[in-house]
Amino acid sequence: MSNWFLLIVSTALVNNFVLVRFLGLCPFMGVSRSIDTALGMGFATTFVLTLAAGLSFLLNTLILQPLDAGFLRIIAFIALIAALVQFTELWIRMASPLLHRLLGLYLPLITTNCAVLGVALITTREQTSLAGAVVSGFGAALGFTLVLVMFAALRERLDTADIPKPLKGSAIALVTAGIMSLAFMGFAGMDKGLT
Amino acid sequence: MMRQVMFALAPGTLVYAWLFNTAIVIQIVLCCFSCVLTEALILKLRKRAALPIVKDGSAILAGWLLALAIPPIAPWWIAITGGALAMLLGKHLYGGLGFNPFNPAMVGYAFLLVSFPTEMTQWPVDNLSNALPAAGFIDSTLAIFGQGSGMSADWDALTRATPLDRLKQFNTYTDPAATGTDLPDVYGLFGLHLWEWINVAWLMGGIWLLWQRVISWQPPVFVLSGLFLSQLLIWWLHNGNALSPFASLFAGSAMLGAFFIATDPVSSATTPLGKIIFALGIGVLTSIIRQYSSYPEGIAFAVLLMNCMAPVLDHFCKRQRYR
Repeated sequence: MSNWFLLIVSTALVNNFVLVRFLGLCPFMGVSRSIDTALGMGFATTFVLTLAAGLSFLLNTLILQPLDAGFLRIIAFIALIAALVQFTELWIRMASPLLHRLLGLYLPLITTNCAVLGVALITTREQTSLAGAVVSGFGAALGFTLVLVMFAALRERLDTADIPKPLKGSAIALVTAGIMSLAFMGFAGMDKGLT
Repeated sequence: MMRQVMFALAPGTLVYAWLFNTAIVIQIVLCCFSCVLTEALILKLRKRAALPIVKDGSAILAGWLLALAIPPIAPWWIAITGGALAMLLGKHLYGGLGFNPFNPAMVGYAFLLVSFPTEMTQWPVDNLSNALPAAGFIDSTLAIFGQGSGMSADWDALTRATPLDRLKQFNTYTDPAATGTDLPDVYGLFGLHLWEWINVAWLMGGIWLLWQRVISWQPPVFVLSGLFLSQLLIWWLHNGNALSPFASLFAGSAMLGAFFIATDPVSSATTPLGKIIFALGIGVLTSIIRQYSSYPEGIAFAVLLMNCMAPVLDHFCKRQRYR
């Protein structure tokens, strides 16, 4: 139990995919205009990331490793994630039209989110069990959602600020992301400290 | 208002100078100089009138707070870089006072700590311990301006780990059977060795600010209670082998953070409930970072993290009101 908690803290805060590993910056910059879209994107990504981490772990241990085909990992994972997103969208459309209306727009975007591929690659390298892979995928997604919502709220606040002209828009957003990353440095070493 | 805050900072600064190193005065001058110069330059670039904005004192206050956070014998370029970065990244890229989402002094400090870890962790020996020689004003000045060879004593003998550093090393490296009370010079009468008196002086300054109605009571009270309660939990979880909850209030820059940094109205949350969660969060995160991360003190990172959270807190606290 405490191991899973540690894993979530480690993947969500200490090794946050956006602010510490600098992955998934495209949705981070692109879908952070308002808090509501950020929340939608966060939920959709959480759903797909958790599934993708588990399935890519299974794909790696059951198919790629026995065939000694580790060099195919990146291509195989990209195909898996794309297929997963498509099937998720189909299934959600059938099962719950409401959820589909909430997440529908963001689901195709996740295919191109490099954080998803990053999580799949990193968890298969670092985790030795299916549960570990799923939990670390979930933790990574939690951290992604947290940071995305924080960033969206900060950007909404910045809309009213008297920012110098050359810095308006993405420039000040990147500066803000940098300072957030600086703040997250405070968690450095916490995964070791907690054990 | 800024003048009153500076007045309230004075007793803490004097105790600091007396107990540790009088060279803190030089750091304050350097930081304030750098902050004011950067601010004036940026305002000039933006073709705004510099004088009225520099005169409001916020740049000097940020410089002062930054100077209190860096070691008193850090080289001069640390103070200059930190002050410039605090004003540039923390304040003027966002349009100046009133628009900055992060506390400028803490942005400058975190930047320095992450970029120059060696220079930022060289704390001098205190003036009261007899075993080790303390650096006098002249030696410290020579050290700040890079003339270390002209000093009367060996440089390495003049620096020493702070009580929080020693606690961190204790937490990380010693076996769990030992108890924290065995450590020499970590605990004082009620707080951490000597730092307790600096914290008491800051507490007095803070209470004076409360009495003058410059700051409201919620931020300091909730920062300190968050810090106390979460440290109590940590202390209990580790069977007493951690910084004791009461001492944690008089350790490092706890009081400075609670009364002078968390009370910054610009970078904190604005809704009533949001303000309370903001302050509690600073206290809780401080104790967590102190105990578990690789940094001995957590106030600066806790403030920056809660600065990140402040707009989210405002968003959700506002929403609940309309439902």
